[in-house]
Formats: sequence, structure tokens, C-alpha cells
Amino acid sequence: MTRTPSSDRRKIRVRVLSGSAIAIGPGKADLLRAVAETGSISAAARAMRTSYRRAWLLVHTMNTCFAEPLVPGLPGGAPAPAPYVNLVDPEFKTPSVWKASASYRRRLGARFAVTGTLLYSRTTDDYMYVDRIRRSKSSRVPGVYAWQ
Amino acid sequence: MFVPATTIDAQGRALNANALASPQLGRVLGLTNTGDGRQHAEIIEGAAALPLGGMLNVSYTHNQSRDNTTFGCCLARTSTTFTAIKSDPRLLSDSWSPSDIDFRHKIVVAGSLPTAWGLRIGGRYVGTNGRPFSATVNGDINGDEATSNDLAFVFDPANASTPAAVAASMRKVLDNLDNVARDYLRANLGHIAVSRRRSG
Repeated sequence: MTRTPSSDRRKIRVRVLSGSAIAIGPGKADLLRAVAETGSISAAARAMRTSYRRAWLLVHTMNTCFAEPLVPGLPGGAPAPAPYVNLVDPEFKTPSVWKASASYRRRLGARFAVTGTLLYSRTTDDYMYVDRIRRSKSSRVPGVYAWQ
Repeated sequence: MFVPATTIDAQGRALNANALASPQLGRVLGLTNTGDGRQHAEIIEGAAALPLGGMLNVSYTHNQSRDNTTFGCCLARTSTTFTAIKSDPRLLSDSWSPSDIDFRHKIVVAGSLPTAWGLRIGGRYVGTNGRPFSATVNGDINGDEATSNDLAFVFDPANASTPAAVAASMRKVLDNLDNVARDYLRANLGHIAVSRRRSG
């Protein structure tokens, strides 16, 4: 008796082409189902663990390939939204806060007490998001590309 | 922020969109470690237990907090949305000054009356001074999209090049004895005001 190794299983994946664009395939079908279930492209993108931009582009392709848009409400010829890029400094360190305190308390009889306290705190490497797309005249701005 | 001079309007407003290096990208953020802060405080406190279960507590705090950005959040190109700045909000090296949460003196008096009929009535007074402030422009002049963080140029009424109407207004402001920022403004005449100074 022989068993077919799973990697040898053949699969048929159906794609419908419109010109060179894939009008609909398995991925787009899943996305379409997710949009139908969740009611929005962003929720569908989250459910499918993909970016909103990617989901939007896939929906946009589907909409332009069919006579009637599959996902209504999205203008046919609208430009794709500009992407957001988040970068992390390769030298990024965990912010640290050092705190020191000293306190002295003295009872004066049964009814009175006096307390003196010193507090000191120092924060270093505090996190900060730096915009890297807006131009700067100064080369001192950390990590800003001086495209001009 | 750098905005081409030709795109700045007659009122001196810079449009943040004109500072974009690439219109193809909507937002580009880099997570960095440029924030820094120091704070120290000295507290002296006295407590008294009054007869019949009442109590009185008096404390005095002397505090100083300084940092280069109090809140590293929200709007990245203006991490100092809350910290007034002269030019580029990303240049934290220029913004080391009293923190937004800074104060100088604080007095707290708290007490409660003896318990009567199962009720205890208490009160608390907190007095603080020395919160920092800055003279800012109502608008965006550095093109960072924040309309409340641009330090203002303080016109000197004694300077001949100051327009007469502006000089008259400035004199009125500087002569007002109730103006807590009088000394601050006087110290900054003829240039862009410094960031976050306190009244007390």
C-alpha cells in the first residue's frame, strides 16, 4: 500500500483574469467574503491579517475588472491611499526611569509627627516618534532625511 | 520643518503639506530615544492627631521638573505639540526647559473632624504655583500642523521699526501690572520668546 505524501497533492486554484489583472482568485474570494461578513474593508483586512492598503488595492482591482463594482462605495478610479511607514531606530533602547527617594519621619510625642522626603527621578532614552517625511533645514534633526 | 519660502502666504503661515519630502507617502515615523527628563522634589510634612479622632496634615513641596518633551505622543512631527518651540519640533536639543507638568511650590492642608454619628467630615486645600508658560502665536508658522506650539516674536515698542499700532498694544500689555507674564515679555523684547518659563 502506498500513500501519497502531502506535498505531492495536486491542487487546482481557479483564477479569473481580466486582461493581465486577476479579476478574482482564491485570495480575493476570501477577502470578498470577509468584506461581506464584516461590512468594511478595514475590518476585513484585520480579519485576514493584512494591511488596509493591500485589502483596498485588491478590492480596487476587483471593482475595476467587473462591470459592476463588487464592493460598492469605493469609487472606481480613485487613487490608492498613500501608505504609512513606521520605522524603528536600529539603535532603539528601552526607555529607563531612575527613581530615588529618602524619607525621615520623627514622632513628637503621641500626637505629632514630622516627615521630610527627598525625591529624585531621571528619565533617559524616553521614546519619541520623529517624523521622517517632512523636510528639515537642519542636519541636527535626528534621522530626518534631508530630501530637498 | 522646512517649507519652501515661495509657498508661505502673506500672513506668514506655512502649510504643513509643503514640507513633505515625498507626496507618495502619507506618513513616515521613526521610533527613537531622544526624550530626556529630570525631576526633584523636597517635601516636608507635619501630621497631628487631634482629640476625638480628628486629624490635621500640612505639607509643603518644593519641586523642579525639566525635560525636552513632556509628551512623546500623539502627533509625531510635533512631539512637542505641547512644548513651544522656535523652529523644528524634532530638534529636542533646543527644547530643554521646565516640563509642562512642572511647578515650584505646593502647599497641601488636609484635615478631618472627629467622627460624629458615624460620619467623618474632611477637607483638603491644594495650592500650587510656578506652572510654566510660553508666549505663542495663534497659528502655524513653522509648518508642523500644530497651531499652538510656535513661540512668538515679542515686538519691542521702543524699536522704531515696530509698527505704531503694534507698539501701542505692546505698551498696554507691558504696563498692565496685573499681567503675570510682564517680566517674561520684557526679558524677551525684540526676539523670539524663550520656551516654558514660570511666573513664580
